[in-house]
Amino acid sequence: MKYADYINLTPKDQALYRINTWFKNFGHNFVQFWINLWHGIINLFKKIGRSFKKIGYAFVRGDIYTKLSFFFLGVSHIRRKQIIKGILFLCVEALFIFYMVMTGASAIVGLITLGVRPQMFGCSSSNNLYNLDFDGLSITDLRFLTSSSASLFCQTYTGDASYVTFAGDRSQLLLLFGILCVIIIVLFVAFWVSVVNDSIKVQEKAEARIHNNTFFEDIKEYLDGKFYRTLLFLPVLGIAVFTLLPIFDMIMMAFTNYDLAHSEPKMFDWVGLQNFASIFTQTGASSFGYTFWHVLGWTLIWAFCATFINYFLGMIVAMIINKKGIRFKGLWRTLLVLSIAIPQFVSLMAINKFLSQGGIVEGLLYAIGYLKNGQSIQIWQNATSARIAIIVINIWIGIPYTVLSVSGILLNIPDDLYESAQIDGTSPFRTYTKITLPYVIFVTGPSLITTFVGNINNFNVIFFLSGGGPDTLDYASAGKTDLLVTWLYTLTVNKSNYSMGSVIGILVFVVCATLSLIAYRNTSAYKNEETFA
Amino acid sequence: MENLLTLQNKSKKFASMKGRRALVNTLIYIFLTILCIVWIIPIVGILYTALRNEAGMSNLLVPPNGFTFNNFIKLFADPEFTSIYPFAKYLLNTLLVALCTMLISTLFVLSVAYTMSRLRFKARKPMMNVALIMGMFPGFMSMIATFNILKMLGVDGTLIALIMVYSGGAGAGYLIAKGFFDTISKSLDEAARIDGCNNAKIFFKIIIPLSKPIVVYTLLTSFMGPWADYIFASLILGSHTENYTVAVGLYKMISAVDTLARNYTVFFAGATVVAIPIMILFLLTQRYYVSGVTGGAVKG
Repeated sequence: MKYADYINLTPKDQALYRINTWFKNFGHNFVQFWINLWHGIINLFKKIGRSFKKIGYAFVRGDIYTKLSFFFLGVSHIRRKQIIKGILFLCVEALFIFYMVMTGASAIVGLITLGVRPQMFGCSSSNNLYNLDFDGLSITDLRFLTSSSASLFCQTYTGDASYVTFAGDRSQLLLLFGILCVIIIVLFVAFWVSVVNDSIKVQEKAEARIHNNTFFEDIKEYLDGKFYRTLLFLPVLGIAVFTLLPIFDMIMMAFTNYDLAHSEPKMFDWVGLQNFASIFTQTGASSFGYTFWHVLGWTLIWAFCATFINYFLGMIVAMIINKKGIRFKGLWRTLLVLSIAIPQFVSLMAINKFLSQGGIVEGLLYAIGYLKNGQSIQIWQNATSARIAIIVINIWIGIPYTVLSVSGILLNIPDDLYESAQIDGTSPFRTYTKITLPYVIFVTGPSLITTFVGNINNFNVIFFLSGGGPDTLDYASAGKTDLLVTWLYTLTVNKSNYSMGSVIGILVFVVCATLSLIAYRNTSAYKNEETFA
Repeated sequence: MENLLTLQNKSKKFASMKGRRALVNTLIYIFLTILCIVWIIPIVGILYTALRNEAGMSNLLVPPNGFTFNNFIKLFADPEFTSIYPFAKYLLNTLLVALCTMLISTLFVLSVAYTMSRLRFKARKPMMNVALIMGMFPGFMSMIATFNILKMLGVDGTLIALIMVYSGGAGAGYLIAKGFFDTISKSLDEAARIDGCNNAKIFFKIIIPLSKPIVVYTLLTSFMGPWADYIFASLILGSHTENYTVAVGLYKMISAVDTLARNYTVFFAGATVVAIPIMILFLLTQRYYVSGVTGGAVKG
């Protein structure tokens, strides 16, 4: 449909048309997203293939030193007088081999098995009169799977019930070290490829009598051409250790049966997609499947309310404060912003206590006669009132953010738009809906999705206000106001059900990623990133 | 004559408009006053409870024993109380963690933001995509794994572990600062390059001095994060009470029914002590915060 046709439709048809195209595009964008992901993966493999092609070239074209570099990294560099560099490469290779021999190989085995030796017990008494031969083992060597059977056996045969514990494999650490080992191997392969490629390059340069950089020149390059590596080294290392590695670890946990019954000293094992299956197939009350869909529903309702109520109310407040002729703008803004300035755990816990039984709000309700003697306030005990309270209190936190971000934008709206509207005799309401609102939405629209995703993961408000309660037996370890993230928190920290917690984390990721990638890809900020500056 | 009439009409209309505007403005002032009163009620409530001369929770509007500063004194000077909850130590721990985190994360964030904004290299787009995807995993999902890594490094329960967790992944939150660097004209870099600066010099001598708002914003937000965090701190510190931060300490004061009855008003005194420096800091640097928030909003 052309714009001219669209503008001639009635407002109702326009709205319908827009809703229609949104859903049409949603499907298209959704498919497009996965197609792009697929292309990305294929490109990755193509790139890997290309780099191996280069290596083939290096092998065919290289002299003996370059060929030796395949096995002893850096030989080619040492031959072309890049001695320090060559030795460093060799050292890295030696370190890698040392690591693989010492712990790496067993780490890979551990990743596959997740532990084979359970915790066991044996008699500690060395002074035993009944040193019976028991399947070729002496009693001190005998090992039992439970401490009680060990103590019974030892009491009977040695007269001493005390026993020693033989530590078993720790699945948790085996998983972590295994993932670490895989990462190290991948990094080393990448390193190997780049060094081998570099070997043929320095050889060709030497043959063509082009100057190869000295070590000092290489170092200098790290402040200029390769400055990005210097700047990124520490931050990327930090992200890799404290964000990426934990995420990989937890993703892997989703495919195990790691819960309270399988935590240390017991071991856990791979179970494949069983956890995901239970989310999507269970439907009975207090099952994970039932809980997931209900908690997801409330999470989406909450995110929707928290985002849009705060956005529109905040915009109205911002416009009122920024209206021409209103004085003390700074004062109003500052007073509102106080609610951001206080740490959330302080203000939210305080409000929780004020609104709970025996709190000051209850006293206020007695004073105005709303509550009779003997009655008490029930806000956090009732699902509906708790949910409403959370959304209302979140307005207190959310509006100032909108006021801050919208204030700047309102000041940027060209004045002549308003002047011409005034000359045409437009009513303030029409001015708002036809000029201010479209302008602000245009600028802040993309950030709404970010806010929405942020609210799906809004942990503090729920955790400190209601703690997820009121609890219900219908849900598996969740309360009526729990969001997916707070449920995840309860499952992992309080219930030690790590595998289910990871599954929920992954599903939260899928929800957020789908929402934001679709929105993000359509913003000009993503498409024309280079043209912005 | 006709002209005069219209003029009169106009001035009448103008006068009525003026009257209407005054009325509207009065209504707006009333609305804003009510709004602001509602906004500071919880804050007044915290202070009011902190000053009450009683120990536990009470639904009496007027405190029966009047008001006192004893709760604040108890927090720092009562040996019986401070032997269980050494609040001054908590404050010191928190300050240490927050300051270290502030410096390290700011360095990380600015480095990454500058690199992604100004320098061009092959891995740039893929890295930005990875950061985007990573950001969509809920941070609480990997808490347990992070805890295990800290154990592996042998630092669990210490303040160093907290600093590592808060600042380690900070580089991923580079988008707002990148948006700011994007708006600084590239011709500055080019001019500096012609004058013989290398990339390192351009970053430290030209871009950073020009980016005061975003530097202050990053410092501020990375200080406030650890100052107010409860979740990670409580998990990582566990039972190492000597390393507790204020958030964990305060939470422990009222987490059980019996401690709630003893420490309710002291908790609010502590909450006031924790909130005040942050509030002052925030209000002093408010304009930088605004530039950060709007910068993020505009870039999306």
